[in-house]
Amino acid sequence: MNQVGYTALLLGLMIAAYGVVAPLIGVRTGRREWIKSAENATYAFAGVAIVASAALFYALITRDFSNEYVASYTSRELSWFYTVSAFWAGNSGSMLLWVLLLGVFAAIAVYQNRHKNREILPYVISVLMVVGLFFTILLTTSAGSNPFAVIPGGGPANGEGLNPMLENPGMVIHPVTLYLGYVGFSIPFAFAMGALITKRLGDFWIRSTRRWTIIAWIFLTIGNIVGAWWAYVTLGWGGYWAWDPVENASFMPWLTGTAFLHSVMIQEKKDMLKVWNIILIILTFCLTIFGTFLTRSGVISSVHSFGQSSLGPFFIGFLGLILVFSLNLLFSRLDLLKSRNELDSFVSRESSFLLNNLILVGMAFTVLWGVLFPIISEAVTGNKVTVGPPFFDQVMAPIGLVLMFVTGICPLIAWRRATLANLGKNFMYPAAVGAIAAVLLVALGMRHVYAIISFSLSAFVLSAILVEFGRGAWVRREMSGENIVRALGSLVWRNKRRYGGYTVHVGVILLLIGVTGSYAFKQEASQNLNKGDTISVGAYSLTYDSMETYSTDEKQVGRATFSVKKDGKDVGVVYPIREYYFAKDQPWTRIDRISTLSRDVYVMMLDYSAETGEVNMQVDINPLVSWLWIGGIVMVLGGLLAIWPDRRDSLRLAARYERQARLHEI
Amino acid sequence: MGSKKLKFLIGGLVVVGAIASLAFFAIRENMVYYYTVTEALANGEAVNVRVAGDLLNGTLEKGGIGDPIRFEIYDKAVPESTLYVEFTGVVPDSFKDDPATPIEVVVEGDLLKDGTFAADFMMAKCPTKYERTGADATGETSTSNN
Repeated sequence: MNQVGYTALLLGLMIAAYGVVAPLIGVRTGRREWIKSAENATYAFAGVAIVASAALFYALITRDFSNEYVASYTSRELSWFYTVSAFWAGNSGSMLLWVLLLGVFAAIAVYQNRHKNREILPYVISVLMVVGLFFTILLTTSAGSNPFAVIPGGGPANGEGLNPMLENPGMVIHPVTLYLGYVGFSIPFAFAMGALITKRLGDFWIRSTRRWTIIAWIFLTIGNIVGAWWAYVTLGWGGYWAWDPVENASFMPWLTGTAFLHSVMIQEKKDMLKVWNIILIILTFCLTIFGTFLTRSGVISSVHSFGQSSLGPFFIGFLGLILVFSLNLLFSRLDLLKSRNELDSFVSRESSFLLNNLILVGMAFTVLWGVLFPIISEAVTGNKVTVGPPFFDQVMAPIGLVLMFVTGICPLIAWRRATLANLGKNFMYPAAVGAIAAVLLVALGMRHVYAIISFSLSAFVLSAILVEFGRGAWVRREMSGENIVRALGSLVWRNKRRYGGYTVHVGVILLLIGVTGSYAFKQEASQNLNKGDTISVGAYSLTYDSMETYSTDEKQVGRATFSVKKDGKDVGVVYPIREYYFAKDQPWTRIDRISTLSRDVYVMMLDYSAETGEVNMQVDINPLVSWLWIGGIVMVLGGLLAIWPDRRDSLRLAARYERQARLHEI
Repeated sequence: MGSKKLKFLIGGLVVVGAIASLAFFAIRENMVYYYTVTEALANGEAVNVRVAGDLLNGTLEKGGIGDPIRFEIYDKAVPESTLYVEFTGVVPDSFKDDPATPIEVVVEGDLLKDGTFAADFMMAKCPTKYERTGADATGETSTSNN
C-alpha cells in the first residue's frame, strides 16, 4: 500500500509537469487538443492525489507501523477519530493534504469553466499545476517529507502515539480549514495570472472567482478562530492568542484576503483599483505559501514548528519565484490596468474602502515586521532579539480601534461624494449611541481607556448596522406592504451579499468585544491549596473539595473537585485535571472552566501531590471571552449568507458576461 | 499630478506613515535581547532578557508544589559557561532532567547582580523528538505570562 501511495505521488508529479506545459503548447500552436488534455490532466492530478491520500488513510487505519509516518504519530491505543486525523499531524502528511486539496479545487475550477473563460483557462491550469509540481517534488524527493517512507525491518510493534495536546476536536478542524483557506486562494491567484497573461483585464476574472475568494476567507476565518479556541481550552496556558509566528502566519493572509474581498467590490462597482487588486491577491497567495513554510522551517521558533527541516530554502525559493514572476507580469501590463474612474472625494464610500484596505494591509505588514524582525536584526546587527505579545498588542490595539470606526462609518457614507449634510443625518443616531455608551461606562466606573473606546465604538458600529437593516426593512415594507418581519427577511434574502457582509461585520464587532473584555479586565490568582482551602479571584471563591487519582494503560490521572461560588452564591463545580502519559514520559494539564456570556471561570491545576493532596492552582476570570466564539460563528454565517446561490444574481452575471464578451472585454 | 490625486496620495501616506511609525517605535520598546549563556554572562546584569542554553543534567531542584524550581543551563558550544536559574511560574510539560533526552531551554527574566538568573517565563524543547513525534506542538511547549 505504501508503494501504491508513493507511486501515486510520482504519477502526480509527472501529470503536474505535463499540466504545466501542455496548456502553453496548446495556446502557442492553437491546437485545442492540448488544452483539452491539460483539463484532463487536472482531473487526473486530482485522481492520483485522492489515491495517495487514500493510501495514507489505509496505512493509518490498518495501523501499519512499517510506515514511518504512521509509527510517528499514532499508536494502538489511539482512538479511530484521532488516528484518521493524524493524517495532517506532521510535515509530510500535511503537505499531502495540500496536494489533495489543490487537486480537488483545481478539478472543480476546471469543471466550472468548461464552457467559459476559454482564453484564461490554459494559464490557470498551468499556474495551478506549477504549485502542484512544487509540492509533489518535495513529497517524493525530500528526505523527511515522504509520507510513505518505510522503516527497514518492518517497523515497531507499536507507534509512538499522538501528542496528547492534539487529541482534541479542534486539532482535527483547525489544520484542515486553514489549508482549505490557503489552497482556496490559489484559484483567484491563478485566474489573476491568467488575466494578466492574456491581457483580459476586465473584472471577469474577479467575478468568476468571487465565490472561491469568500469560501477561502470563510475557511481561513474558521481555521484561525478554531486555532484560538483550541489553544484556549486545550493548550491550557490561559489565553487564546500569543502572536506566535505560526498564528501570525495564518492571520496575515486573512488580513490581506479581507482587504482583497473589499477592494474587489470597488473594482466591480466603480472599475477602480485594478492594479491594487492584483497586488493584493499576489500578496495573499504568497502569504499562504509563507504560512505553510513557517510551520516547517524552524527559522522561527514557535510552539508550532515541525522543527528544523531542510524544506525552508525550497519554500523561500518558490516564494521568490512567484513574486518575481507575478510582479514582473503585473508591471508589463500596467498600462492596460488604468481605471476608468477616479476617486472623487475624501468623504465617500470608495475612500472608506480604501482606508479599510490601507489599514488591513498595514496590519498585515506590521505583523510581518514583528515576525521577521528577529531575523533581520540578527542579519544586520548580529544581535539576536525576540519580539513577543507586548509589541503586537501595543501596535494592533489602536489600529484595530480605527478599523472598527471605519467599519461603522463606511455603510453610512454614500458612493462618490457624500455631503456633510447627508453624512450627518445617517451618522447621528449611531454616533449618539456610541457617545452615550462612553458616558455610561465612565459613569459606571470604567477607567481603562482602550476598553472604553472599544466598547463605545462597538455600540456605534452595531447601531449603524442596525440602522441599515431597519431602514432597508422599513422602505421595503412601504413598497411591498409586507409586515416588518417579512420585509426584513425578504430584504436580506434579496441582497444576500450586502446583508451577509453586514452580518460579518456584526460578528467582527462581537469578537472584538470578547477580545476587549478578556484582555482589559482579566483577573488572575495562583496559590497552593490543601483540601478544604479556598482560592479567591475577584468576586469568585473556589474551594478545593476532593481529589481522585487513577491510572489507565496510557496515563496516570489526578482529578480535583472545586466548588465555585460568586459573592457567596453557588456557581458550579469544576474538575481540573493533571495527567501523566507513560509512553511519552510527559505530564499534561487539562483545564476546566465555567463558561457564560459574561465571563469564563478558567481553572488550571498546575501540579499536585498524590500523597499529600496538595495542589498548585491558577484561576483566571476572563470576562466576555465567549463573545469571541459567538462572534466567530456569526462571521462564518454572514460569509455563508453572502455566497448563498442567488438566482437573480446569477442571471444578472450571465447577462453581463455576454455583454462583455461581445465587446471583447474579457 | 492633479491636486486631487495629490490629496489622496498624501492622505494614504499619512495613514501608512502613522502605522509604520507606530510599528517602528513599538518594536524598539518591546524587543527582548536573546543571548546564549556565554553572551549573557559577558553582558552582565540585565533586565528582561532571554537566554538560551541546554539543561545541565543533574542540577534540577524542584521545591514543593508551586515553589520555584532551580537548575543550571550551559552553552553547548562553550560547556564551561553555566548559568544558575531560578524559575517561578508554570513549568513546561516537556521539561525534565534526564541524560537520555537533552533539553534545550529558553528562559526570560533578569540577570541579577550576583550572576544568577531570575526567570518568569520558560520554554523547553527536546530536539531529538522532533522528526518522529514532531507534530503541531510536540517537543517544544511554552508557557505564557500575559
